[in-house]
Amino acid sequence: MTYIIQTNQLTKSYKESHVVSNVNMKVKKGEIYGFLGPNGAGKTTVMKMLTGLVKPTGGSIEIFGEKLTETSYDLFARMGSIIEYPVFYDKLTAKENLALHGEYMGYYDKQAIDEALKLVGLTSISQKSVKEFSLGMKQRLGIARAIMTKPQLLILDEPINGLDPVGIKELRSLFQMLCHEYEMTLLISSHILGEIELIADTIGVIKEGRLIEEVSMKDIRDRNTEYIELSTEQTKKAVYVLEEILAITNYKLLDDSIIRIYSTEHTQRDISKALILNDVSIEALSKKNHSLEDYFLSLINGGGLSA
Amino acid sequence: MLKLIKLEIKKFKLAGYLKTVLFINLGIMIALCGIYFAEKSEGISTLGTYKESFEMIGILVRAAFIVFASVLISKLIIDEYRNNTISILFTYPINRKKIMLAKILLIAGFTFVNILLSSVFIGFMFFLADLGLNFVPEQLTSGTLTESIIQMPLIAFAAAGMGLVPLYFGMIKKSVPVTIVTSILLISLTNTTVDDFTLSKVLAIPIVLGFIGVLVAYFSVRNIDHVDID
Repeated sequence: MTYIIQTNQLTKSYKESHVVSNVNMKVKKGEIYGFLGPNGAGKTTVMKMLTGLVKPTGGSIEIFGEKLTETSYDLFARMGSIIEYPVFYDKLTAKENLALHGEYMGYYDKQAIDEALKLVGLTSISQKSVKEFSLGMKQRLGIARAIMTKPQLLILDEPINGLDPVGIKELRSLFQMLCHEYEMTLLISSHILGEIELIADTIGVIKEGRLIEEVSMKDIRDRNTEYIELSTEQTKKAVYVLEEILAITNYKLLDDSIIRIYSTEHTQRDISKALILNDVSIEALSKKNHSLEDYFLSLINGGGLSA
Repeated sequence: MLKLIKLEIKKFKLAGYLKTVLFINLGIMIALCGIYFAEKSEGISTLGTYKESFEMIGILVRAAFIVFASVLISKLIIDEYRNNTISILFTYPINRKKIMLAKILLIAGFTFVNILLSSVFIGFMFFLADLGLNFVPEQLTSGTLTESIIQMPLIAFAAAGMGLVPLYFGMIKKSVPVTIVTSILLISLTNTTVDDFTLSKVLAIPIVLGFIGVLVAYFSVRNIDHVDID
């Protein structure tokens, strides 16, 4: 397995307090890694250490298989990032800012600027000075800047902050496109669970500076958290059908009208067919997942102090 | 390095500062007229000889451009920290030391060239004015001229170094006011006359301060690789 980022016991402490402790994080090549945690959990500090802005007090970082040291500047040519909120040279226009970025990165493809602006939907205002931009526009421009050099690794700290729902949706597909078509590896932090859940391949959960879980989304989905929820007035009759006719035992009666079926032997179609044939009225029948939110909250709250 | 310096010029649109330089020159000339007329009415003269006059021009020019250097330090270095654009700059595949050095060289170089050119320009204008108005009792001798011209680069170099001293104090709290006030204090300190004795007239002192400035610049980039950008 090729890891693009690998940290080993990564630690950052200021005087007495540990902001990040012993984080062992593994980001695979070509995946979207969702970095999840409440505000102040240490996400930004980890990302700053990955981009060389903050120096670790303990442990080590490997990026692209090379050890990150205080002077390994070359690695940064293959990375793009937004850390905290996006900052620009306000008096320059969007285009000038990106041109400057290209010069510093040593990336001279003239078309890259327009392409990047197009990808984030900022073409029409590229000649405006950044001073006049809203937070959402700055966020988009920050992403344009981070991706214009086609980096192999993209580190985005809370990239959907300040965006409206339409913008969030656009960015979501942009991230997936970057991952699949440009084969970038993305590390995206957020405290908004629902967002990460939709795009991430792997989730790392950080709490109070510790990485308390690192798991692939596939595993979470497979953890028997799928069930079919049946809503009916005739629960007794329904239970009879489930047990006697379909031979399902793994179910749970929630209240007078809701039954959760955990067994995966039967499809939703089979169940509805059996119920209808036996004259059980169905109000609703749907497949459901325990959302990541449930899982995340249980992790955060389970570890002692609640966030 | 040259490329980094060019990028700094582009980034901060420093070409626009040339106008400021012209205004500073104009201001100094007006100040000279002011000094001349004020002293004439009081019957004393610091512009009595060409040597004194060139010294006065030198003091005014250095004072102006040392303060100007502190403005540039604020803009090119302190503001990058204050606006947090430094966090962009330091994620580039470029040695942090080189980035800082480019800024410092640009500031010091700009100060040096401006002091040199402005001294020559204003000195020449002064000479022209004297040709017409004849307010300096003596003639300009080639000895005075040569001495001034030989000293000029050395003094300009020392002043350019001295102009970097505020960087040290400004960086402590990343403060623009501290940077600029330091430069003003520095000028007041070196150019205050007590019993006819001025620190800056002892050539060694501005030169020592110049070296201190260079040292300060060195110290401000020496540890830059270890520093966290929060």
